[in-house]
Amino acid sequence: MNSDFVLTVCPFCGCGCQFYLQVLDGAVTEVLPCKTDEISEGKPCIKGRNAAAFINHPDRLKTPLIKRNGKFDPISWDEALELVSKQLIDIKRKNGADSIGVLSSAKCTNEENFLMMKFARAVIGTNNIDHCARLCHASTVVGLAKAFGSGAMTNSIPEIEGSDCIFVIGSNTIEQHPLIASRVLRAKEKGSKLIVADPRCTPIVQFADVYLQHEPGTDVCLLNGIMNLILSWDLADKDFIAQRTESFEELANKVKEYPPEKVCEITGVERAALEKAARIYGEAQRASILYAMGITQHTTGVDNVICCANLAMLTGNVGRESTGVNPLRGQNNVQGACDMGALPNVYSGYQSVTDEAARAKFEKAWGVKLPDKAGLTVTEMTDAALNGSLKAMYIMGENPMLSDPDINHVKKALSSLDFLVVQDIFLSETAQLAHVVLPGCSFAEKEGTFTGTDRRVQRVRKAIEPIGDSKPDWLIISELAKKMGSKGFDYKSAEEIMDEIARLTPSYAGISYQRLDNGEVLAWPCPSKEHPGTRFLHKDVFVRGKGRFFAVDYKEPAELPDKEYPFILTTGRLMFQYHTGTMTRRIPALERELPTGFVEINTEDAKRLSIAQGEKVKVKSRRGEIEIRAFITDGIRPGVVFIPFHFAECAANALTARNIDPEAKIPELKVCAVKVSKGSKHG
Amino acid sequence: MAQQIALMDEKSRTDFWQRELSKCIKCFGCRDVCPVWIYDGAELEDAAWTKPGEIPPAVPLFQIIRAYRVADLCINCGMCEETCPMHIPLRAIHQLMRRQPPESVFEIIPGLDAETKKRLVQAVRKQPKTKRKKSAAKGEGKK
Repeated sequence: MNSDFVLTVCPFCGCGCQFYLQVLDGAVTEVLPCKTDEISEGKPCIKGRNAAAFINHPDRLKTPLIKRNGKFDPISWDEALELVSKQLIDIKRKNGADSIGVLSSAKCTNEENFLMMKFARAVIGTNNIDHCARLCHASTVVGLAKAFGSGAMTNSIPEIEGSDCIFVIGSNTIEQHPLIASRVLRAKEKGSKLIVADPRCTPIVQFADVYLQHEPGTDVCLLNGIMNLILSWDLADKDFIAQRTESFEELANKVKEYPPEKVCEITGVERAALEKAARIYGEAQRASILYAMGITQHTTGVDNVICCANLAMLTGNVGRESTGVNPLRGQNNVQGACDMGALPNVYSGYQSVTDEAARAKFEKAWGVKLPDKAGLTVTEMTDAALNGSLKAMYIMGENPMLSDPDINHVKKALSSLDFLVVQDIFLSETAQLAHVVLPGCSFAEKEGTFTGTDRRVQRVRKAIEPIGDSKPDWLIISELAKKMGSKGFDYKSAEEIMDEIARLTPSYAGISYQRLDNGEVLAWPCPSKEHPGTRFLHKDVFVRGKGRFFAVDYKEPAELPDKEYPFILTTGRLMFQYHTGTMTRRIPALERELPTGFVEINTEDAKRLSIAQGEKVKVKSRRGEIEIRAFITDGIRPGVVFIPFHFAECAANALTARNIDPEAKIPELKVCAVKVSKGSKHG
Repeated sequence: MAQQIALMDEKSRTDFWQRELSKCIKCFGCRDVCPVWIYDGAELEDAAWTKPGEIPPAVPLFQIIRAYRVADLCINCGMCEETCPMHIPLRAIHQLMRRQPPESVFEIIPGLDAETKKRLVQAVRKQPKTKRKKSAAKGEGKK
């Protein structure tokens, strides 16, 4: 009997908890908490504790598949790679490199994301590469880069415990980032104040000193209102503003236009609560803002993010321990996938593709000419597929058929492609539409690194051999690249890829497997082998020099309720499932807790529509219609309904709209108009 | 902590646990790491006792079930508290129950209605299913 314990990183959320996989005779038996891990301290959440349960699931893809007459047949790796290579080369020859789009994966390692972006740019020759960050924190990357010069969480997770005011806005922290919520509650025990702003009364609200239940999409108005009060009470940090920032007058003049009367009317928040929140945040010594999709997934996503940055700078709460603007990233490696340049406009380390010096550096390293204009985003790729300008897509570890807005539209778009390759560990809703499916392997079967939400780079370690004939995604990409005749893909290990990342990416220059394996905790920027990593950003000087205030006006969401569609639909996630459920719906302990979705509706609304608890109802928007059970609660504003997007059988994204933020191109998944009506009689 | 809880009057103790147990995220860690938990899911995974998918799970019933189930086997190792992501002081429950009858849990964590108490006592006094993990279940007779 062979037994081993392999230290690795949880594959679910962005907290970045480490734990051990217990291996017995080549199979993972269970997860064992790791007490020396700084994030989880040996106390993982339910998803972490059950993270091993999907690895050996019988549904795992074990061979490459090809679709013939609507059915998938297994084929060999050689045939599959030959076919994919030939198709991609043909399509590129006929229609140009920009007729091909690539989606990388926030579930895969940094090494794999780096390689995928190298593949798109150096092998195919297009900047059409993106991933699901477009749907979650694209507005953060744009907004915080404009204000601070760096679009990442400013402070680290353990620091949250030392804050004396925590402002949670648009984040269901207890359910989505439990190990961050744990810090929030500990800070509270030590006397910190907690402000929560959310249209939905999520579990963290019960611990709040003040709760602002604002109307979805009115975040700019709310935050401008808070800043208005802070300025009129003279609580701004004048020294910080004078020394560290610019364009303050612009902001000051703008927020004057947001007096409490106006703000309370638009947001629906009580004046006393607004004042209390402004007072607490304004008077705090070390205030920390935590936000997530409630801020970002709007047509005003960038504006919302900028307001958070404005608020923090106004009170001098950036660049010090236990303060900052902290976007909580959803996926285990969505920070890393962004860092690695799996985005249409930047190489790794956010080096712009339009910057000639950066491009020349990558051209020299890879020995090829690289495209010089930014590529298409996720949302633009589906449109391009539908209008025929995009002919082929290569999707790794993503499930747009459930995660993207308006999935009827996505289905049409993906179905109209000449060629679709999907690389995944399960036959997801998206993989079912593919011409060729390539079996990648799970986090337990490969080496690599994940970058957690607080920029912490951690080692993912191989516990078992790949299941069936599946292969690590980095190996598949390099074999395909070689098949397509490209040089520079002869990697013998994931570590060699990390060495290339370090050579080409200033913020990762000091990161190596050797240092990580020695137990160093390295958060980027880590510019040299001697550098200890960076716990919090913008100390003494912002990445862009001075912090920049922007005056932002409140704009209404793109689709508001009307007579026909009288409710606002807002979407999100729940504790016991993860994203599109590809992994979690195959974990019995989680599926038992939450086997299907529901629509949350306010008690008064339900009464008016004579809907009973648990009754099946129809929810319809201009894009689609679903049947789903009603969950009646006082925890949601009247006129607003909530549906989790995990479930294919009642998919929230059949209803959502494709309205996007003009800069970040992030869809407004948090607001669209729907109608709710009683379903079939025997519901 | 146990000392402080013991000295609280009933109202304060009720409030204390209401607040602490509201932090629970139902990770099942306290049950999963418990060296003396021998039951197969039992009431903690039974929709007739606690509603699936709810956070926090029934306060204070969920935690009373767990503590009561292990009352006479608990070795006070404290693993339940050590593995709790929300830092709920679970060890204190078992320290206070140590030289007390199992039913003392209803005093240590007040607030459960009489009817549910009765049901729980009856359920636990029945011989429990003890197959626990798959490996342990293998080879044993299936009922």
